[in-house]
Amino acid sequence: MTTTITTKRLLAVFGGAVLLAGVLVACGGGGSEQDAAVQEAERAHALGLLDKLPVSWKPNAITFSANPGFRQDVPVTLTTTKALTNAKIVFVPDLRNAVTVVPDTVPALAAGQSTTVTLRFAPAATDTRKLIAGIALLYDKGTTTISQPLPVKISIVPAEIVNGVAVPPEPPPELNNATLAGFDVNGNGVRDDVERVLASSFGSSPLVATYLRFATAEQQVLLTGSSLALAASDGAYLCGGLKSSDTDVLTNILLNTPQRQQAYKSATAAAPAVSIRAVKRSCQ
Amino acid sequence: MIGRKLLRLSVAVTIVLASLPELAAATQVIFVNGIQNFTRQQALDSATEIQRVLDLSANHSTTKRDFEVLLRYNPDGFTPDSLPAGCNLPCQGVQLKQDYVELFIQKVAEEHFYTNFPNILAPFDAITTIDRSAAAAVAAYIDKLPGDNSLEPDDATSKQLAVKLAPNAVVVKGLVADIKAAGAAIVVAHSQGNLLANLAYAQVAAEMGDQARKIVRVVNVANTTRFAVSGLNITHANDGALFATASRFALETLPSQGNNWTRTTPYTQATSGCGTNSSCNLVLAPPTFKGASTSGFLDHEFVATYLSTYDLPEDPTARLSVPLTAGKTRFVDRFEDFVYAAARSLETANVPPLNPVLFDNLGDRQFVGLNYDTNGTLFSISVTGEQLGLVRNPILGNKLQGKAAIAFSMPAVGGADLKSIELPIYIQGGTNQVTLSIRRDINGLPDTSSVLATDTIIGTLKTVNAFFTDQTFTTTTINYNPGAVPLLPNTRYWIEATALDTTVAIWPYGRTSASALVAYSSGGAPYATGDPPTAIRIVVTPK
Repeated sequence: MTTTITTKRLLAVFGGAVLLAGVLVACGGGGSEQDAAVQEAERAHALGLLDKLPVSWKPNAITFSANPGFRQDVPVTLTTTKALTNAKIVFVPDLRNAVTVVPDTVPALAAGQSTTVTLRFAPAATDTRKLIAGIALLYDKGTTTISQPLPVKISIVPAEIVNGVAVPPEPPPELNNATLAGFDVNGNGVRDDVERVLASSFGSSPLVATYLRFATAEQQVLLTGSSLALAASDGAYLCGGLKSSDTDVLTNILLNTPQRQQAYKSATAAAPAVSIRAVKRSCQ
Repeated sequence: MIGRKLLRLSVAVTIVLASLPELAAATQVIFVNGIQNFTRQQALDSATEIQRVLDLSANHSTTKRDFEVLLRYNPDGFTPDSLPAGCNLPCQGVQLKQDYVELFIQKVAEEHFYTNFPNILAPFDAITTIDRSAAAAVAAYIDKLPGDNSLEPDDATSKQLAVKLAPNAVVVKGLVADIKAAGAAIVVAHSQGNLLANLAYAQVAAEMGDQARKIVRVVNVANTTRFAVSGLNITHANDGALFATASRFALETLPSQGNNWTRTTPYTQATSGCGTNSSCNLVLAPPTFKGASTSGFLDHEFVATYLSTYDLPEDPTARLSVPLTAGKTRFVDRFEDFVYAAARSLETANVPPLNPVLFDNLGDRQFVGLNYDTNGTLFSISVTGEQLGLVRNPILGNKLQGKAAIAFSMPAVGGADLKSIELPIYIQGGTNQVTLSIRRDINGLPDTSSVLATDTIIGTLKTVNAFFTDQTFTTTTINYNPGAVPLLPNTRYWIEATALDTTVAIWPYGRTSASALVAYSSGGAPYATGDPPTAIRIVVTPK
């Protein structure tokens, strides 16, 4: 079954919120239909035709590139102007194979309130698509309330080789900087933008593995502030023969937002004092 | 005679061997970085360099000590609300402003407790009384922002600022915990780290009172504060981050720079030309060395300046009482000297009260009390203390302050009349005059209302060619009339020295703040070659 979703139809569906199931079924066809649906939604959104729908998303679109087999969480915040009860977040079927949402239900949300859910992108390893695109929607059957569409577009690209190091694509700053963790699509524990700088700055260095260990530990310091992470970072630094003038390049990228700076400061301020000798002893 | 010298030499060798590093517990040195060491790795570099310098102990090879250096990382507190596009750290404009905010708030806090802090100072070379209530008043500012300044116009802003500066309080509390865990530690603070170290010391002093001097010494490097807790301040006059005479970015003139940050504090209100909403200069401890030029930014960096091999000229007017290694004049030499002075002082403070068994003069370096009764028999008076010297107190307008004291006590039975006290004495200065008082102990302190005797000692102007190697100090004997100074059994007495405020004097080879040395104990290894003149003889007539 193929259906062309026009702006008019989207408005009819979204505005009336009665034919959602039909839309979802209608969108269950091939990739071109998905693309068309996304394009329609984007166009309608750009024209401001959807702005009056009661639930909005922040960010209002998710677009990024990733390597095959990627994993990435993206938190999104939805704000409603109308009270919601047991609203479900659903996806155009094409997206359903690549993303889940936690939680997938918003039990209750008063008018004017916001809540954050996490979109967990994890396409199957066998997924060979070059583009994963679709729409996320929130639908409250009881109040017949529906959200503005959240267009999602993920380009699947091969890993880029920088100085002999395979690196993930540059993450979109607005998504990457919205959280402490940021983007790490290859799940190696190093934020993608940090990893790219690491490769471009030190990819050809014989110490590249040490830099990677250091960057992994620093990311954990930022996220957890754990003594273990600090010990790993100090060990990589003091045992690995790194220089602060070099690691500062990575640290400055790592702490590129006030929130990250504040979190890092809080974590490291509370850390126990470190004995230089003890760290050096641990090198052996 | 030769045999006796050989005996002394063999004992001395034994003592040196007994004090080899591997046999002694390492002294903990806790480094607190300043704002310039922004990243943890920069701070690790600084701590590693301290460890390297102290492991080498190039200028103390014969009296080498073992130090373990710890880093108490100070990540700075204040973080701006937003960073301009493309302005990741270090983004000089943003970084500088956040540094200024943090320093300004902490210096304003200091102006709120500036009258309390002098009452908790614990110079490394003197025994002073630590006022616990004053310490508590200072320590209250660990968690309290000062208020009444242009950065905190209202509660909301104040609360935001409090959140942003919270890491500072965490660092201070961590440092307090570090000091306590170490049992005895030397805190080396650089730049803004000094402001935090002072607060940490205040907390320790509030909890422990006079006992605080048994567990902590602070070495101030590039001191941003107006105090030097232990009198161990290494700051040179050309430090451009601190002094207006060195650069236009100086901390001193921060209130009148750019945003014109103003404040109303007890200090501004008490100071002519400041008053309310004032942008008058901040007060810093004066530099302790003449200006030097280094490769460090603003001649302020910890490693590139203060641990560098650039020459650091002495400033005779500073009158430091730290023994400086002769012929070694670099920044790194001075740093080593200061840490060693702190370590010796810390060790001395932890020497338990002596008993007569230790009263030999052959090399244990403890305070020597040759105590005889009038029949020439050794009498069991125990003597404690480090020195009876006078130090220049900058807080009192550089007047001389004779808080140092030697305590002696009688045995549990009997009692005696004090007959005489014999001391080696060195006084150099305008009046060459020191007053010696005998006071009875009340609750562990010399009771000012119980002066039993007061005597004036006129010193002899002398030239001392090497530190403590000149043992020709004039021996001065003060005699007491029978019954004039009765000594009760089981009671402690203090010998306290004071000098006229007008006394202006210079320590041997013009480098220290002490103007008079009445008697001295190094309490450990000698500062330099040769034995210190440490004999004191107390003669009593037993009852």
